[in-house]
Amino acid sequence: MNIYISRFLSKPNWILPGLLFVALFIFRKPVLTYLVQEREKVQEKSKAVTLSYFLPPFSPFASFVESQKPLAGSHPGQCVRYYDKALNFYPHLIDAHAMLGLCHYYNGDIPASLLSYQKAVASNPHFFWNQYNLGVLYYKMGQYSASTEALKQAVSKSPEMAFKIINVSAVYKQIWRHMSEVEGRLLENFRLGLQDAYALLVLDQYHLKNFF
Amino acid sequence: MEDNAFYYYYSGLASLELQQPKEASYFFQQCVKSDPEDADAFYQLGLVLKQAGNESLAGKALQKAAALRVVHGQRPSKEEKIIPRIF
Repeated sequence: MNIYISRFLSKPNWILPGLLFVALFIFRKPVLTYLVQEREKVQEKSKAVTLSYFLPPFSPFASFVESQKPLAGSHPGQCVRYYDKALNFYPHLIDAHAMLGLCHYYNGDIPASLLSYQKAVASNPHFFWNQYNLGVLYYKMGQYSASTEALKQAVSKSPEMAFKIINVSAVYKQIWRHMSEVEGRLLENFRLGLQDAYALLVLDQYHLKNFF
Repeated sequence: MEDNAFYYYYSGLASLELQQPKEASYFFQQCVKSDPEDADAFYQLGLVLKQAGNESLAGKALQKAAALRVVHGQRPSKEEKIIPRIF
């Protein structure tokens, strides 16, 4: 017996790696699941940490919603980086396309803004403000027929749907939680937006020379 | 009232495009009634009245347009005021 033991100990030990291999083979599913879950957790954490470095102040957006005064300074540029990164990490945040479009607009990049609003409308065509903003952008670029189409879509959307989207959106929540009075402001802005949409429809027809 | 002025103003411009100076004059007059601070509407009204041969009224309207420009400067137009919004 001692001979066998000494022989075994004198040869290269393959039993231990072999046993480990067999154990891994038997428990491969839970082990792999655990490793994948851990990897995802680390990735999620690193995404959140990275995104926090780009986090802009949201109060300028809140005052923009409340006063309608245009955004200025370095804020739009900072927000472009933030929403760009956010969409890179979380492509399901469809409302971030609209915010990216707004920031591109105030950063002076109208074509990029249009592209973002097109994506926003493609992701959520039922939201009044996506269609409205797309119509405004087309108008600013002199594409009056496209603007008319988008604005016609906008005026057909219900305010209830708009409020619902704003309430459930994680992206918009970051803004409206900085506002003092939300419901009344949303209603008033929707009214003003509708008014401007009709005014732009008139302007579109004027530029298209559709007088009848 | 200013929003009505906007629609009157563009109805006036459309009437001019359609070679309908009487209608244009009516719309510009309604426009300046709705928004007495609208220099552009006074200017267009002055031009229409001048074309119609009503020199004295045209002169008054054009003078008013010039005076408003001096007082208010170039006011942003309705289309300039329309901007993308969040919600």
